[in-house]
Amino acid sequence: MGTKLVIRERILPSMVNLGSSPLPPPTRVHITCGREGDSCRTVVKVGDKVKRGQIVAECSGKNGLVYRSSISGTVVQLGTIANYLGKQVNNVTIENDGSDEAEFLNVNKSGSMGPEQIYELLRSAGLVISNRGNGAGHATFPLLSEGIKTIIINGCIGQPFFPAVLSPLKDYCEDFLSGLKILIRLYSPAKLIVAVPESQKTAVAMIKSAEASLAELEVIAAPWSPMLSEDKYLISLLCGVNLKSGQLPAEEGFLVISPFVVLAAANAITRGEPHISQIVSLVGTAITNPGNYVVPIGTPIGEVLQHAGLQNEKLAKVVVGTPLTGIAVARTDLPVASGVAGIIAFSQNELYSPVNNPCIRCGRCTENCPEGLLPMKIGTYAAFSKWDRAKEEGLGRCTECGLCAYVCPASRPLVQLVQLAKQQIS
Amino acid sequence: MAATENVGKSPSGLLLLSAAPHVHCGLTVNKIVLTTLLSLLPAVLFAVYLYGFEAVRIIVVCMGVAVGTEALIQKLRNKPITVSDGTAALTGLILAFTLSPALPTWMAVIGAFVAIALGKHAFGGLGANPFNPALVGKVFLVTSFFSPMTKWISPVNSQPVSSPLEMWAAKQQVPGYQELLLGNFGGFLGEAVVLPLIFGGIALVVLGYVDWRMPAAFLGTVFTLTNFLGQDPVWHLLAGGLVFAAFYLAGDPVTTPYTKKGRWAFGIGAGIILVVIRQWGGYPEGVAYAILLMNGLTPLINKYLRPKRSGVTRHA
Repeated sequence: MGTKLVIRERILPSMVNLGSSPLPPPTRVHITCGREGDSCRTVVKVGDKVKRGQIVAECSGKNGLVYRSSISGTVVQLGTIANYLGKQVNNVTIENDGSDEAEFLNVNKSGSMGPEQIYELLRSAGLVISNRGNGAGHATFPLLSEGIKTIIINGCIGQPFFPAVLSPLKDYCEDFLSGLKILIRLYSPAKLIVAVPESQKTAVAMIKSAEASLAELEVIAAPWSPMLSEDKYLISLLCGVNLKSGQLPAEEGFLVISPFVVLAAANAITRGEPHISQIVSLVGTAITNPGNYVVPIGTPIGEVLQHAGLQNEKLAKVVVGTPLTGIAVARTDLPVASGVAGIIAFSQNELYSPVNNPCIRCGRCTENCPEGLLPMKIGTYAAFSKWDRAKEEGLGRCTECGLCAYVCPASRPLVQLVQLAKQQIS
Repeated sequence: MAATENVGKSPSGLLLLSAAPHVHCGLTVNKIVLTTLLSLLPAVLFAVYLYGFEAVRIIVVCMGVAVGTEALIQKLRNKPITVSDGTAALTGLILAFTLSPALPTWMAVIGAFVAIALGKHAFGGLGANPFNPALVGKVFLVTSFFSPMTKWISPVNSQPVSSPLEMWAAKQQVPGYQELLLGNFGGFLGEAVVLPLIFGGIALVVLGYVDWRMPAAFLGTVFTLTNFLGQDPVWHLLAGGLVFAAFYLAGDPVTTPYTKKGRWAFGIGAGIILVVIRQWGGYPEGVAYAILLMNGLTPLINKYLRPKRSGVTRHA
């Protein structure tokens, strides 16, 4: 059936040429800290006054993550808060006091900094530094001074839904280029590839004009594929190198990094600004002003939506992430975390839930599966609790991109079944 | 954590929580069935034009009994009645196209009943049947009532005639292309109304409801083999309901392979079987058997002919 790649590039209302606008300061922020396995401790107490950019929590270890407040105010609560999946994570809540006093990083402006100093500065800014390069996906600066031959800036995250990812290229082009130069200084790669969706002509043009100034820079306009958010697929698509199972990109000399952290690195080094805000695309028909907004990390989702013109009566669902792979959140007082590229506010009439009609074996799911799997088979095995059979069918290779369920005429909950099976196996 | 007031909520106060994906392409089984039925409308109208009331009778009876049987069975099993998805009606119509317009009504009733009860629901309902339900009904009728099932009438004067393939098997003068296309001969409904079926079938392929590989493989194989055997390949494509089978019987998603390679295999296999039956087999017409035999092989085809892997592995 001729239904290959049926996703129209604009499922959601488009906002192609909007720049990014700042938000008014939030009333409070929740700084969530500590990832799985980190030992993170807070360095403030309830009642402390903090400045914007001040450290509120720190993880132990030489490369421990640093968490900074994104507003100035008073610490009102320490404890835990639910993340988008409902799990409790450590949290510091700061109430805005309106003073907007800021703290900046200690940047050694005189002379150039060696790599050690740069890493320390980036870590201090709140970015992820990791020994092996497998920290926070493409938000990590690995501590490898050698061995990185190709750096790929993944401008295709969350495409084609969220222009925010391209904002660093379009709206902050100069700073972005500084960020690229920092990467070059740290890793001395042979090539620096910026991958941009080929449909985003303005961004492609803007960054291509910089190709002349940086010898290593190469801009690749990639045709859309749902797998472009996955590092390994990006490497395979752009460079033709297929990583084996269990192999890290760094082992083949690759580093995949997101435009957001490149910009954050530039801001940290050139201006001493810590990484405390995130460019987020707000889309959906339940808000009247969709667009890219510069959101202080930790701002409650509800406040962000309100500033984007939320129509309360119309709001029926809030999804953090792309419409195909995002997470629906239960409460709008949850904070916008670092790395969130887009939030969708669905109205009532846009809602879709799977119906779980019987599979008619039409084959559309497998036709659209980027991995070449048989989702209908995996789904049916999972539905009948045959987890091992599902695993044999290639359960582990499913990246939950959501295309199979998107095209299924029987509206089967294929992704959910896969998630269920994966849970049961582990 | 103090429960701060939810800023922004729906009229009921609650936000919908569901797993990804949060959007859908909008295609439903209903839409597929409806489009297929619409694509058959020109063929239905043409059949009525050729055979008048007899065609109407057969079509109405088959569709009605099919829908009624499904409703009855689902009610007896205490399951929700799903006739509104249109799949039973479509099966009934396809069955009607495999029958002679001269078939007694009570036989058509039996055929439709068997098609739905045995061909579909005995296996578990929609999506669960390995064999094409309409063909299950038709073959049941052919086996039980061979003579009435092969009684063809002329559209002109309703007199008994032989079908083109019977004439061919008996080495008689056969209708030419024009007659085949315009239905001016006796045969089952699907073999008579070739021209509208060609349009309908191509429309389904263009709209993306039938994979082009299936009719291409089926028709291509028959063309090549009959040519190789020294027969007139175009004549064989137009005769015997092959066009109907290639688009509407082989285009049934439930009973045919769901991978691209699988569809090639199905089409080629059905083509080979059909030519063998026509050339050397005992029955003059073989599309039903060709399709049913390949339906039987479909699970095997699905098991072994899989899509290509992407080539990139991730953490298992």
